[in-house]
Amino acid sequence: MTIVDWIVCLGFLALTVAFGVRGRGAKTLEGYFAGHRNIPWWASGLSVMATQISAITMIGLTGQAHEKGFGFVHTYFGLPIAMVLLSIFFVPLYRRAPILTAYEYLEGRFGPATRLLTSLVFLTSRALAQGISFGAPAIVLSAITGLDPVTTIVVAGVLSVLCALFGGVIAAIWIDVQQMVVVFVGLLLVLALLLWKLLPLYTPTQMLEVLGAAGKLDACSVVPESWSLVPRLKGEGGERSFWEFKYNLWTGLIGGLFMHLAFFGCDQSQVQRILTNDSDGQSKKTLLLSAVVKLPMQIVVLAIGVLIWLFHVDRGSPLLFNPAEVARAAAPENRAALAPLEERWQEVLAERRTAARELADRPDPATRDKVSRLAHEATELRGRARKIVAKASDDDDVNFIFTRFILDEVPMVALGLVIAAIFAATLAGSIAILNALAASAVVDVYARWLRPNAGEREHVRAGKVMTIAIGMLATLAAVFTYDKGSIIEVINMAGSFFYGTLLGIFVLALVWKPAGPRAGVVGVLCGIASVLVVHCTLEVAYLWYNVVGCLGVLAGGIVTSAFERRTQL
Amino acid sequence: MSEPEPERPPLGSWPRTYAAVLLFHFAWLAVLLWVTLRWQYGGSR
Repeated sequence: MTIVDWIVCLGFLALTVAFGVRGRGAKTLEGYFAGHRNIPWWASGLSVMATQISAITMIGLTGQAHEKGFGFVHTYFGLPIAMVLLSIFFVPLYRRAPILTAYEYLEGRFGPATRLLTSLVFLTSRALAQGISFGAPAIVLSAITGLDPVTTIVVAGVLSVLCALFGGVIAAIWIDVQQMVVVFVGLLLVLALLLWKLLPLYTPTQMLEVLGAAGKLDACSVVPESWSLVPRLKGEGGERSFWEFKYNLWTGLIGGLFMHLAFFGCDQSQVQRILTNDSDGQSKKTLLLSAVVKLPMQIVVLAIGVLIWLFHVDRGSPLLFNPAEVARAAAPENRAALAPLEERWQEVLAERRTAARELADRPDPATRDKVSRLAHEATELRGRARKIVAKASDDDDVNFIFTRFILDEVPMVALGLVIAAIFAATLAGSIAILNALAASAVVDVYARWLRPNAGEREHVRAGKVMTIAIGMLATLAAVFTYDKGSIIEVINMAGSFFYGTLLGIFVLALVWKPAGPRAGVVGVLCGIASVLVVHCTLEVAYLWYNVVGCLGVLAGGIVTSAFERRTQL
Repeated sequence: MSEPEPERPPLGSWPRTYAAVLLFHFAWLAVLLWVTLRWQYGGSR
């Protein structure tokens, strides 16, 4: 990075923080947690989208597309359907009374115990995950800027707390809007740059031909890898079942539908956005904006990844991208083991370039097979090289593909802006979660159970104290866990345990009128228990945990409600 | 803890909006399916 890039980057960041700390919404609970309910739909809609395109997803997704192609797009197949269902059923539910958290609604429906239980489920799972959201992008940013990862984490933590403290949800939303504009412009610029470099070499049809041969265009897989619907027991050998594969049309539509229903409909950090609008119609538009724009946008992100791969076919690429691994590869103890791989890598690159050119000019099955074989061999060589030099604590190598490309190819000034956008994305996501966690902790726990008679001023003060406390804890958690890959995995997994349960309790409220207070509590406990049982006994992809948790709540709630009615009679 | 059934507001043009959103989505899925079948599994074969 040049000095000009640093000036652009720091200038942009200073603007973002100044924007956030203006303190427009910090006087009342409704201002701090619901933005005075006068945020326009397009702003809250962009904010909803921004939470799913964080720094790490933008960097990670392009890298994943570079390595594995379009497969990840299946995850979004259920999203628009989820948004339409949420607009029809959940928006009227949330907007019936002037609530500040999603879980407040549950008290009116099931009583205080269910509200407390669900808000604690949300607080525990999201507070744990928040630590990671500081940690993961910090590693990538420190690799680009040369700053120490701990410094990057602490700077991100302090700036997020400052913005969340003074600006509340209003700061979160407007910084998201600013971030989304930069992300849109940034993505289109990178796409234009790639096309400008590739179009003189390949026509669009030739690009598709080469990418298809390399297995990068598996964008809608109708036939799943397995039709066996009986899940395997944990550790059992034999054929993998349907439930273990993530990237096909059916898992995307059904598993993705439940995942997005749970995330956008029951996670306070998302529901909070639709509580900031002034009418049902505005809240519906907030959700429908994502339904329309999200999939095309993800297609652009993944297209950038596969086009970078095509660019690398022509210009070549290093065997490893992660600077920490590159440094380790140069160490004398690794050099001998890597030398034959490096030699073969150069041969494969040369052969792949010639084969891709041949396929583009004269498509025939033999050349297609050759491109396919060489693409797979290149992936395998990278995997073998990583086995030699990678440590468990390393951030995934794919996270450095996009950053390497922008460092090498994006011109000065734009580079500073792109780095600032990555950093701002980390901030925006963190501010939103800090405010949502503080909202639930204060509204659902502090003001409801600990100090119900205290005035609004004290509750706002408690919200601010909570924001600082959660921010500090998350920053500390990130400092201690950012280099411990296994812990991060466990925490990520723990998060996926609870979403289905949160969805289940809201679905129970909607579809089963006889369910009362006991059914609510038993339902939540059954939901968590069913996910735990499935996790411990069956081989099932995490995406399906949302379905299991939801069904667990419904089963537990409906059965308990039968007994509830009997005792009432 | 049951609550009174609220009055349902008129649906207005929302059903048409939802249908348009879903149609748009499935059109994208059709494009993705075409790309997959034509270029991933078809190509020069």
